[in-house]
Amino acid sequence: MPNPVRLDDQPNRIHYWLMGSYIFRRILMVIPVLIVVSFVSFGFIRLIKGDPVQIMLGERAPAEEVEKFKQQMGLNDPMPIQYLRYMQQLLQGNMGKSLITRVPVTTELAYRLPATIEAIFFALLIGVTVGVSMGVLAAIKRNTAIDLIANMVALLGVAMPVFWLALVMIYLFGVFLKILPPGARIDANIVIPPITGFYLIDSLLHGRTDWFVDALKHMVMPSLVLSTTVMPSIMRLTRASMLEVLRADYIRTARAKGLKMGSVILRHALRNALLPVITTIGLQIGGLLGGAILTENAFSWTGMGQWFFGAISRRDYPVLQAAILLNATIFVIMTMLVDISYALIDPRIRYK
Amino acid sequence: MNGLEKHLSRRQLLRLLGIGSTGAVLAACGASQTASPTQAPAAKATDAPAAPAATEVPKPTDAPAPTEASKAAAQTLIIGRGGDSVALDPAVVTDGESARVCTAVYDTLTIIEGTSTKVVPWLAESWDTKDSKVWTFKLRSGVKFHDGTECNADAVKFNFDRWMDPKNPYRYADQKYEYWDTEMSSVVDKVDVVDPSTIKISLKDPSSLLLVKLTLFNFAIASPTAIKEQKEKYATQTGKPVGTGRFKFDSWVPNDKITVVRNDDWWGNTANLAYTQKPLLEKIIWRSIPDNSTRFAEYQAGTLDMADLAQTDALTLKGNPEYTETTSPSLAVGYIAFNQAVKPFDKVEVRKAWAHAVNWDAIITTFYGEYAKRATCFQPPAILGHNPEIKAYEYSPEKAKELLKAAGLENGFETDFWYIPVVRGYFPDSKALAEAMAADLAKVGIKLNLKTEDWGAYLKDRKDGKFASWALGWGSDNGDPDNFIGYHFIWSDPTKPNIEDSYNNPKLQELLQKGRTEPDAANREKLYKQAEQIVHDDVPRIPVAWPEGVSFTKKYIKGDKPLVFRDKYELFSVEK
Amino acid sequence: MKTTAAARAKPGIVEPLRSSVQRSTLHTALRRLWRSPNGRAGVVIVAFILFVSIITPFIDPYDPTQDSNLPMSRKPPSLEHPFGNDFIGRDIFRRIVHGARVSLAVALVTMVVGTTLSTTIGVLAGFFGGWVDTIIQRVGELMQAFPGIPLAIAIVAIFGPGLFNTIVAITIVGIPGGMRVSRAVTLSLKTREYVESARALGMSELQIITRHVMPNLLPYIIVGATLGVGGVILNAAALGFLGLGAQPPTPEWGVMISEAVRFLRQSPHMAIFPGVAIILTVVGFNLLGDGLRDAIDPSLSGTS
Repeated sequence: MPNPVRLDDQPNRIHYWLMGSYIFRRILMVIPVLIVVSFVSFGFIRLIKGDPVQIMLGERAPAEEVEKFKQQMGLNDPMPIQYLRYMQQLLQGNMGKSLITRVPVTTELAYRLPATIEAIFFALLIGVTVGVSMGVLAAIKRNTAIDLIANMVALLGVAMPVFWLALVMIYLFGVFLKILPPGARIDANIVIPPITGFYLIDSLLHGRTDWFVDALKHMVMPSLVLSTTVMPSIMRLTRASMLEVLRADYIRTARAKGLKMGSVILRHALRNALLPVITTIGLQIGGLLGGAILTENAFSWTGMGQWFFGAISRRDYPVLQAAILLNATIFVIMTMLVDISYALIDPRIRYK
Repeated sequence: MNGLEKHLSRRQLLRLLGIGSTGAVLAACGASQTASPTQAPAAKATDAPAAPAATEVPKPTDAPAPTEASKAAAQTLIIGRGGDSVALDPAVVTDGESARVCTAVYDTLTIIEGTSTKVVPWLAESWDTKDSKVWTFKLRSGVKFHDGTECNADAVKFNFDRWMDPKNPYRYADQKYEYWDTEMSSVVDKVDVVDPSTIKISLKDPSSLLLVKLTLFNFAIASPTAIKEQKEKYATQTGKPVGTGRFKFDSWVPNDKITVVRNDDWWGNTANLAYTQKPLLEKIIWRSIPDNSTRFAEYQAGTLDMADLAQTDALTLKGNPEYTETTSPSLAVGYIAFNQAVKPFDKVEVRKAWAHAVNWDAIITTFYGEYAKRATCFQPPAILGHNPEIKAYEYSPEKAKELLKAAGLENGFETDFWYIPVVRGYFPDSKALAEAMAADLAKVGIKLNLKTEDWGAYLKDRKDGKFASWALGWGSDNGDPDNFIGYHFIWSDPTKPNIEDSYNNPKLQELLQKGRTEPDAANREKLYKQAEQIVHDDVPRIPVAWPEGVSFTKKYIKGDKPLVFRDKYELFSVEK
Repeated sequence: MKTTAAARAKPGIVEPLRSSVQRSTLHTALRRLWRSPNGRAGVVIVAFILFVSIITPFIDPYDPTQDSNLPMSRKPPSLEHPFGNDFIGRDIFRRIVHGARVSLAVALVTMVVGTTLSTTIGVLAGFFGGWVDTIIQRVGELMQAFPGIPLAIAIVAIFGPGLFNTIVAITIVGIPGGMRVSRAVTLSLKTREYVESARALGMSELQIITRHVMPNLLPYIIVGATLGVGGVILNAAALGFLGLGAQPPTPEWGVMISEAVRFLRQSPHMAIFPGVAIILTVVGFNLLGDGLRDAIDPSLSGTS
């Protein structure tokens, strides 16, 4: 459990060196993992049942046509050769083209990735804001109705299937009450010329607050649904570590010194209580990516999750490869970042 | 029916599939096998417009004449569909989702009239031929592409050159000119510019099919300037399609939406053609929403004005005052098939027992509502050779048990049954239907293990004879029985039965082969009726349902007309 | 999807063992479990679900292949059919009750197989250290690089949809997490005095593991497994919902929801009841898991 960051923990040269070397080592560790990831993602896809070419050329395409096309695409070559070709292209930043749309995977990625990041960011924002504040409240008002309600919400949040919650919300707010758009990233009439690919940023860059508001409205349901994958554990963890920190000596001292409860919480308790929360967020990235598949599908959100699921049902090899590779890469890098940020916050890690 | 013509109609189906769908057409998932009213007589129009549906005389369309100022703001049509377009270069795309956008943006030289399958002038004002070999087309004058350049004989020739010549500098590595290669390359010999508004197309052999082939959206005329400027990006997600059509391309947000806006300088506005009108819509937006249930939810929520829906989804709109319902007669069949190489399906009693054991009528009511009829024989009534004298297998578990006993299987048996993994008009909910059927079969001792797999694998494994019994269906490409009962039962290798079902009945082969060559329609009908009877007696397939085409359109969408043989975006208006 | 077993269990459990474990006997732990309101609620809910799914086959034998009743298609809840009927007229209440057996069976198999595997590997890694540990850790990290549901979907896509493959996929997905937990606990146990003295007394490694490590590890395994059940049930339902998990006519809750989606407007009961069943079950197991954790080691949760 978190130890307080002490103010006398003066940084010195050894510290910096240790920190640097830790970060360096942590980054190096990622490389072999990514290589194996590439290998696995390549091999994985080839094992899948189903013939993408048949699907692509149509249900009634004759066998010769299918065979000819496979030959052209190099899908009949030995696996090692296909893998080498794949890796070679990958290093050149070429992830191939979708078998279905013929669009380069990287092109598609350029707008799919921002969509998912945007959704995940807001889900995290909601998850962390709601989770932390509920956790703090529950800890302070321990064993009261507030504590009970917070616990119930967390409990239900974990237990509610994402796909089910999405459906219920779409029908409730989208179809019956008609107060929130049931899907898509923005109103059909609005086309935001892409700058960064993030609709909320781009709309502001174009100076269109009306676009921004509309994009925000479309963001509400998906990010809310997605946030249920992280919110409960953040809340519970915040609550638990808050309780522990509140019991700690230095908080008692601070309060004894006459500091107001509010500032004690903000300045001392919360800061220390948040350390484990960062770890949890790191651990939740996988959950978020998984949740994104279900959420994006339900809200026709043109992100990575929808892409991934579509690629599976269409057996779109290059897209699937890219999606698996990216999922894993994002996960690996996020975990790395969390580890590093944790090291930056909590000096003890560096000595490990 | 000669092979070429059959082929054409199959291709045409694809095209029509895209443009013919309006409102909540039940052809979701881009199914080339869904029942849709658009396909049937399309091909027949080529030589003899004999199809009954094709007789209606074209008459001037009387526009509803909305006061333009009041309607202007609201004239946006948002259409929900299952997938994005692949590209908007008609020469290289083949899918229906690309076709429906292309037909709004581009014009072809000729077009199908709409209420009939007559070929009428479009970009070509008139044409002439003496020997059906050399055709001279007079082009409409003053037609401009959306980029302002002129659509003249040179522009048309540029397009033909690009389609015809594999070494043309404006063809790129990934591009396949599939439609040209299959439809035209063996037909067209060369194309010459006679004068700026006249073009001459010389064929290899005389053919009157040229006119109808030119109506295919793939042979729409694109702006040479745009093609030259954009190079391999032309009309892709990052490019911009430029045609002469009613609507100008506006934007494409990949996998999300494609927007086109009205082209107020469209040549048709002033051409005074009886079979078209000035478009009323100002803007059309096609949104891709892959998930069926999400698309349906959006349609109900009102964020879509039209949507491609799964059959069962649409059924739940019945009686809803917000929608107008339209139906069209069935040209499709959903069936259960058996592989007679797998025991015990080698015994006709077993196949018959299956047919009698299931309460098909209850299944039809539940799964299709009133939008399908119980199939009494293989082909629906609209197809030549449909045999009305055949009575459907009656529901009788007792009879089924007797038949099983006769086959020596009084204790029943267990088998794999494959249901389709996709939504099709002929099997809108194959999974649930299979469950209901399995329940009935279990009562007579036939235990089914329900299975499915990826659609591509499904079709292949079925063809390779890996299934014992399975569900599948067929939608007519052209209304001809050779494309229906013939397609299913004629052996692809004349010396032995097809592997998929190992169904061996030489008499049936003889009838179906004769049907291919018999010139007299009445005689053909007799042949096919006999064939139907044989299929009924042998039960190689159990025909289940003849699904109709049904659509539910929002009430505020006005102007819909039964223009079934081409797109009709010019007719719609939004009157909320 | 959601938080995986490992993710949720980890923050508390990885913590080094507290002395209270040795002192707390099974008896006091259970008493403590029953005394906490959450724990008691968990016990009641889980016991209820277990009871129902154990006795149903005796009082209501069910063959899902013979259950359709087309005239009753999509009938709303009534006295005779308290949860209404589904698309092909099956009684939803019956299917939910029998569906509990499916979900519990998936959870049971996954937890037993997964926990056995992950514990064995984790203990080996933690106890022997060295290159064994390094390899196991690296492989674990690699597996974790492919996040839960996407990995499960990919696995099912390879082997084909179905209940068995769902179980395989979910089990594989859960292994690295469980492994890390048991490795961490083993590491902390290894340095304990009684392990040292056992070694000094000449006990073999195997004896030490079975006599000293495992018994102390067991409470954590039980808590981890209980807390993991919720995640497993949710994952299985998600795969079922996507059409990759249990196949019809199996009365699996996720499958039932996917069958109900398009009728949400006309017949919401078809989707609501299976959803509630999932929520109740997951809540039950999570409460029980939390309660167990608190009961075994109150200091872990920081709540009491």
